[in-house]
Order: sequence, then structure tokens, then C-alpha cells
Amino acid sequence: MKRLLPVVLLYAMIGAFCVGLVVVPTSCSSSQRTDTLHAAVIAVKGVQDVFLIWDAQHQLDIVAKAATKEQAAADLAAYRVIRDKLVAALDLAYQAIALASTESDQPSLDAAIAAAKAAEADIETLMGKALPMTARPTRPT
Amino acid sequence: MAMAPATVTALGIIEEIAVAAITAVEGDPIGTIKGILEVVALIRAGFSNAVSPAEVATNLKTFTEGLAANDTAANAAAANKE
Repeated sequence: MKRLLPVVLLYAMIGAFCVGLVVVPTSCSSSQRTDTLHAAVIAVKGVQDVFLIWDAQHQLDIVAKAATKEQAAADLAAYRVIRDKLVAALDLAYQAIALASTESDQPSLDAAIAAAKAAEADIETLMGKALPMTARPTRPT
Repeated sequence: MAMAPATVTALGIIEEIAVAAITAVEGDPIGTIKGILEVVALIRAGFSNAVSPAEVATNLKTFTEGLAANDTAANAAAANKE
């Protein structure tokens, strides 16, 4: 019996290893969560890229519409106060996504998706038009 | 020279397999199963599509730098306004 022990253990090890390899690709909920969060990062990145282009032109438009350089400076400062809130919302979305990627609970996932959508909605409101995003994060079913 | 992440992961897996094999030879079934589970966890991590903190930090850095560049351009335009 003592001589058979290593053989039995070896078979047990191989069997468990094979089970583990099967379990890895079929662990749907974990994989779906990861994919959802990664899609959320891509979506938020897309939002920020579109916003950066819009922000550059919008600030130049503010300057062009101002009657004097003092008014231009004041209008830019007023715009940036509003913009700072959006930057904070985007930062919050990223932090929520990063946190959710280290957890496995539903509330953290919901909070991350909600934060990403809130940041996108805030930026859409400021821009006055819908963002042409296709990779919108959705909650896994 | 720094090793690629995949190489580090592969070396980690090999190390875990060796530990599991040694544990099996020493006749510790619980330790063997624990070692195998650790190997599976390593493989799972290797195939993971998880969001990395570095990716988030890079995106935020790109955003703040882009905003700063926009501000600089707008400030210059305002300063040059007649």
C-alpha cells in the first residue's frame, strides 16, 4: 500500500489539474465580470478622448466670443470650474472600476458601471450632444 | 534585464508544480491539492483580462495632460487677443 501511495497521488494530482484547467475557461461569471469592467474602461477612455478634442475647440471658441482678453480669461475660468466637476466624475469612474476589478461582489460592479455611466452622462450634458460611443458598459446578466 | 510578465508567470507555474510534486512525494495529500489549486490560480491569473491599476493610472494621466495642453493653448489665445 505504501508503494502505491505516490502513484495514487500522482493520478489524483493529474486529475485535479485537468479539472482545474476545465474550470478556468468555463468560470463564466468571473470572466463576464472581468470583460464588463474592461469594456467599461475602454468606454470611459473613449469618452475622455472625445471630450479632450471637444474641450480644445470649446475653449478656443470661448476666447473667440469674448470681447476682451480679460473677459476671455474670466469666461475660461468659469468654464473650467464646471469642467473640474466632470474631471472628478471621470476620476471617480476609473477608481470605481479599479476597485471593482479587485472584488467579486455585485455592489462594487454596479457602482463601477453607474459611475462610468454618470461620468459619460455629465460630459454629454456639458457638450450638449450624445457621445458617439459604441462600447458602452452593460451589467452582466 | 527584466523578464516579461508571461515569463514570470510561466516560471511561477513551474515552481508551483515542483512544490506540488515534492509535496506529493512526501505523502501529504492535502498539501498536494493545495499546491495544485495554487497552480490553477496562477494559470487563471495568467489568462486574466482584469483591469490593471497601471492602465487606469495611464488613462487618467493622459486625460489630465490633455486638459493641461488644451488650457495652455486657450490661455495663449486669450493672451494674444486684441
